[in-house]
Amino acid sequence: MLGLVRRYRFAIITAAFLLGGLTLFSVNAGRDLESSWLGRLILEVIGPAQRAVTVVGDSIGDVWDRYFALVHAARQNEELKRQVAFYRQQQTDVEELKLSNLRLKKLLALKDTSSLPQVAAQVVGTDPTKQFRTVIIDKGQSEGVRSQMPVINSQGVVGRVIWASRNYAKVLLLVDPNAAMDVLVQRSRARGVVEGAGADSLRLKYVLHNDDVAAGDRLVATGADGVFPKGVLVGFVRAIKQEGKGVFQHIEVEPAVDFDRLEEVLVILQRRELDE
Amino acid sequence: MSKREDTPWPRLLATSLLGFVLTVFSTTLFAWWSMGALKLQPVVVLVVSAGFRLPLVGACAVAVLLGYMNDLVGGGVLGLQVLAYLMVAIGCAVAQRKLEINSWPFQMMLVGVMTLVAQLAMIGGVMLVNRGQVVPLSLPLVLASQAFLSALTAPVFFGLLEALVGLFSRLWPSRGQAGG
Repeated sequence: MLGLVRRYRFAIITAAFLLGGLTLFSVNAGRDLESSWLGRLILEVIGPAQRAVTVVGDSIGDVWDRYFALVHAARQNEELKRQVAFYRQQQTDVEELKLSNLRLKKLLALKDTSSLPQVAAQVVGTDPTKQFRTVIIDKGQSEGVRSQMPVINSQGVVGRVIWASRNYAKVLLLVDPNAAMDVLVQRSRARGVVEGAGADSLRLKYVLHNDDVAAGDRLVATGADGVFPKGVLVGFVRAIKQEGKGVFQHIEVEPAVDFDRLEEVLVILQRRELDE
Repeated sequence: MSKREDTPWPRLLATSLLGFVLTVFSTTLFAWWSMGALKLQPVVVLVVSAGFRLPLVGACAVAVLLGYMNDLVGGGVLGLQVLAYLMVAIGCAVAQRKLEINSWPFQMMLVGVMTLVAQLAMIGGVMLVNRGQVVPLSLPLVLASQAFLSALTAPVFFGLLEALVGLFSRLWPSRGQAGG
């Protein structure tokens, strides 16, 4: 018996490791699982190292940027003065709109998303592979961050938390092929589902042929999925392809968020409960 | 010179430590310096080296550790990179019976091939999980370019690893000192 084991040692070890790997993959594939203690531990070790590299990198970047900023400062100053005057007027208009919006919201008894508890986080690491689009942020369970919580920034929807350790969390970006959310076309109120198409693009699905959608339309969250607050900007319709005779339109969407320049994000501290 | 050292521990430790550092860099520095879809992915070099120069159990353990770390900081499905790196490590362990990887052209070629293997395993996994996913037409070109980039930079990371192994070996107590 022992001789047999020695003879087939290579095959036995190989099979055992591959089986273990396959089991790990099968258990996790297609599921939203809470992070394991080992995963949380490793993330707690890797997170500070990522943060340190990010801080050093940002500092070097800042010095570089400031040098160029000084070179162009005078030219920019003139331009900025012009812009300030323009934005002052815009700010007045926005204030007016905000006030009227508040009045309308009260009338409709809509929930104000800005009242939701939020926590600001910094992106300390990005996915090293190109098959997936995830980032690591420097806020975790100690700040109230849990899996399934929505993540946004000033531009729009960023993604949702899929893992959280004590001080760090992993965010699945909206452009990842595994990500999807309910949206509506702001202009026509047509509904659909946006899903990641990889390579910094999205696709809008399940929009009927007779629904009114045009290039340039803004897509906002419906709030129906229970993850993202209603009205948060998701993206813009880039192109509509009339392919075949299917029921639905093929729509390409440009995300509102620049995923290549993610630095600071907001985690909204409310979540959809995981299905058992 | 024998293919493997007297004790695998210095190499095991050096590979794990460098793996940790390169995983951190892969998600920060190398991600910032990416050229479109192409990023430096040096972790596969460590797995190739482990497959050739560590005993089978050690090589597989390194593959699992590095794969799990990379699955945690990136990737959508836990276990996918564990599987991909295991395939690479086992492939190298099989090749090690007939081949040596002392020359840098061979190191480059092997890393290029194994990068392709790892990428194809990961894409296969992704396709299994997301059945409806459309494969972009440019995928073969991207894969080939990524393999080329990994191959081109392989000697640097092989050199770095060997330097670290050398350092750890000098610090490691010899058998006589250890009372063996």
